[in-house]
Amino acid sequence: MPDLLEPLQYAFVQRALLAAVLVALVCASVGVFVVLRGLAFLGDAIAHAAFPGVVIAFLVKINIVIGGSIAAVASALAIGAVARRSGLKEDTAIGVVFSGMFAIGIVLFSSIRTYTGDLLGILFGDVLGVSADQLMVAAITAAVVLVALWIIWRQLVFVSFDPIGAAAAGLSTVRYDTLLLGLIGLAIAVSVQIVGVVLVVAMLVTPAATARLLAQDLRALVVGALLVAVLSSVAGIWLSYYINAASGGTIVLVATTLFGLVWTGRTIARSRVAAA
Amino acid sequence: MPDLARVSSPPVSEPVVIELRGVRAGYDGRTVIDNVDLTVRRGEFVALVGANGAGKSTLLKVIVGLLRPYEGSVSVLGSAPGTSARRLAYLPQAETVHWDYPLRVEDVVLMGRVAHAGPGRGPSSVDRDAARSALGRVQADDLMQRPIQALSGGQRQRILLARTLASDPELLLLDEPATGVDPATEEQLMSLLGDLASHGRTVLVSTHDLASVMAHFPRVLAMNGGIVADGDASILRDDAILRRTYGGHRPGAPQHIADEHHA
Amino acid sequence: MRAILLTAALALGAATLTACGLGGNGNPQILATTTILADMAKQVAGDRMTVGSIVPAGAHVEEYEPRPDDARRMSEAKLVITNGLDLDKWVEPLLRNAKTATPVITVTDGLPDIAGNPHMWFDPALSRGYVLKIRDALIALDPPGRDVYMLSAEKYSLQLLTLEAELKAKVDTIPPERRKLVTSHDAFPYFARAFGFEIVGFAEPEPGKPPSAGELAKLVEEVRSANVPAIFSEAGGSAQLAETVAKETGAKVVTDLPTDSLLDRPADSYIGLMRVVVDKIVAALK
Repeated sequence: MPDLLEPLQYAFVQRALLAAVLVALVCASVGVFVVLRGLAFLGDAIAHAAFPGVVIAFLVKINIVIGGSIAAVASALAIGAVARRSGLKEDTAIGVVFSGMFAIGIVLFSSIRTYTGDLLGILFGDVLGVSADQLMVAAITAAVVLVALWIIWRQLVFVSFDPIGAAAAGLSTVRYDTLLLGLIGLAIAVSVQIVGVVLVVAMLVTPAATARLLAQDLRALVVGALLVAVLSSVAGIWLSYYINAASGGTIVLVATTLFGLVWTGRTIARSRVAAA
Repeated sequence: MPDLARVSSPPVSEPVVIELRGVRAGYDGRTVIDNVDLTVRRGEFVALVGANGAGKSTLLKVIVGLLRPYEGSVSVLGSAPGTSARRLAYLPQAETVHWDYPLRVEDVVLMGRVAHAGPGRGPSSVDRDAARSALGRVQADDLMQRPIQALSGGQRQRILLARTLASDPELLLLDEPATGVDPATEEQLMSLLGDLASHGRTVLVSTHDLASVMAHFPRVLAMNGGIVADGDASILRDDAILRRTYGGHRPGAPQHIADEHHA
Repeated sequence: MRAILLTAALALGAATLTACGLGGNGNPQILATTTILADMAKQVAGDRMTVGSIVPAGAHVEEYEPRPDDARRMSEAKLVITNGLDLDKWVEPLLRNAKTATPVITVTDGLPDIAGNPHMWFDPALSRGYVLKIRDALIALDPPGRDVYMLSAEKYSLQLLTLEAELKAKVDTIPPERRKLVTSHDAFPYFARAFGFEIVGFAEPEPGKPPSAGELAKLVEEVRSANVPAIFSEAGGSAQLAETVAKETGAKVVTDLPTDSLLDRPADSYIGLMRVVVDKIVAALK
C-alpha cells in the first residue's frame, strides 16, 4: 500500500490540488445552469472559441488566466449573440463559429514555429506547472464568479425556469443570460490550466449531471454537484500521481466514473421498485 | 370562498389601469391585432374570448410589455408597458416552463417574490408567508414541499397562479389559466379571481370556456384580429358578434342554443 | 450569418499571415534537418553550395511537424543531411516522397552511441565524425570541388579540436561534486561523458511529453539527494517545470539553454552554441 500522504509533501502537488479544487467549485456551481438549461454544447463552443485568445495571451506572455478570461468571456458573449441573432438553426451557427475560431488558434500556434511544447498544456491542461501567481489569479477569478452567482442566483433560477414569466415580472432575460455566459467564460478560463480546452466542458457538465440524477431540489443539486466535483478533483490528482497519467484527464475520468456508478445504481434501484 | 356567480362592474369613477389607443401589433412583421382601443378601470374583471390565433395572447403580451406594438399608444398602471412589472403579474400559457427542474412547489411560488427582493438576498419570512397564503388561496397548501416534477397539469396551473398571487399585484393578466384543469378546479379559480377583482385588483383572463365566462365575468372582449365586441356577457348571445368572432363557428353555449330558435 | 462570414474572414487572415511567415527560404542545394547540421555543412561547403535547414532556428527538433513547403524544398535539394537515431524521425515520410535519386546521409551512422540517444553533436570529438561524413558526401556530389572540401573540413576539424580543449578547461573550473545536470529533456549524455558531468535527471520522460505528478516528484527527490545546484530549462520551451522543481529543492533556474537548434548570436553557429552551453553551465555550477 503506497504512502498516501507522500504526494502532499511537494509544494507543486499542494498547488495542483488547490487549483483543481478551485476549478471544481467554480465549474460545478456554474455547471448547475449548464446542465439545467442544456448549455453543454454552448459551453464546449466557448472553450474552443477561447483557444486563439489563450494562444495569444500565452505568446504575448500575459498571465494565462487573465488573457484566457478575456478570450473566454469575449467568446461567450459573441457566441451568445450568434445564438440569439442567427438566421440559421442555432447550433449550426454556433458549430461553424467555434470550430472556425479553434482552427484560427491552431493556425496561429503552428505559425509561431519556435514554441511547440506547450500546445499540449493548453489543450489538455498543465496542472503541474501552476505557479503561485497563477494560483492567486485563479482564486480571485473563482471568487468573483462565486460571488456574482450568489448575487444573481434567485433571478437566474427564475429566468431559466420560466423565461416569459420572468420577463413579465421585470427581469431582463437578455441581461441574465449574458451574465451567465460571462460567468461560464470565466469558469472556463480558470479551468483551462488544469484540464485544458478540450476537457473543460466535462468539468462543467459531469458533476452537475451526476447530482441531477439524485437531487429532488435545487439545494441538493448544488451541494451534490460541488461534492462530486471536489471529490473528482482531489481523487483525480492523487490517482494521477500514482498511475503516472495526465492529471486533467484523470480528474475527468473520475468524475465520469462517479456519474456511471450513480446512474447504474439508480437504474438498478428503479427496476427493483418497478418489479416490486 | 365567497360564492359569487357574477361580479358587478365597478363605478366609472375608478382610475384607468389600462389604456390602449389605435394599437397594431404582431410578430416578425405580421399583424395579429389591429385598431385596438381599450380602456380598463381598476377592479374590473374582464374575459378575453376568441378562436386560437385571434390575438388574445398578443393583446395580453402588449399590455404586459413583452411585445412592443407597431403602432398606437399603450399605458399600463399610468406608465409605459414593462415599467410597472412589479405591480402586475402575468400567467403565460404554460408551454415554456421547465417542469423538469429539481424544484419544490414552494420554490416556484417564491419566485413571485423575486422582483421584491434585492440581489443576493434569500427569501425572507415575509416572502414565505406570502407564498404560503397564496398557495392556500388556490387550495394547494398541502403541496408546498412537493417536487414540481410530481404535479398534475391542474396542479401546475394552480401553482403558477399562486406565484402570481404571491407577488401581490395590482393587475393580473392570465392567459388561459384553466387549461388542463378539471371543471371543479376551474370553477374555484374563476371564483378566486373574481374575488380578487372585487377587492380592488384588476383582472384580465383569456379563456375558451364560454359557459364559465357567462357565469362569472361582467365584461367580455370578443377578439378576432382586434376587438370585435366589448360589453357584458350578453354579447355572447349575439349571432352577428359570434360570427365575426369565430368566423361562423358557434360554440355550444346553452343560452345560445335556446335563443337560436327565436331568431 | 454575419458571424460566420466574420470568422471566415479572420481565418483567411490568419492563414495569409502564416503563409507570409513561411516561404522566402529559397531552394538550397544542400538541405539538412537541423540548423546545427546545416551550419557544419556550411563550414565545409563554403561558397560552392547553398545550404539550408528544415527545422528553423530556435524550434524544437524532435517534435517538429513538416509542412508542404519542406516537401517542396526536399524535392529540389541535391543532398539531404539527417542526424538519425530518431532525432528527426519525421523526415522519413518526406524522404519517401522525394526524388529517389537524391542522396541522403545520416551523420550518426557508424558512430558509437549511448543507448541510442541522438544528441551526439554535444561531444566535439563525435562532431568531427559528422564533419567527415559531410565532407565525403559533398565530394561524391561535386567531385570538382574535392580540394576545397578537403581543405575546409580539415580547417574545421582543427577548430573543433581547439574548441574541445577550450571547453574542457572551462569545465575544469567547476568543482567535481557540483558537476550535476538536470535539463528539460534527455539531450546531454554525450556532453556528460565528454566533459565529466553526472546526469541527475530530466523533466520530460520523452521529448515534448510533460511529466506526470509522480514522475515530477521522483525528479525532485533525485535533485534533492544529489544536491544539484541548478536546474536548466531549454530554449524555446517554458520554464514552468524547471521553476517548480527549483522551488521544491532550493536550486536556481537557468533558462534558454540551447540544445537541438541554433539561436541568435552568439549561439548562431555550432561552435558558438557549444560555447554558450558551457558558459551557462559553468556560470551556474561554479
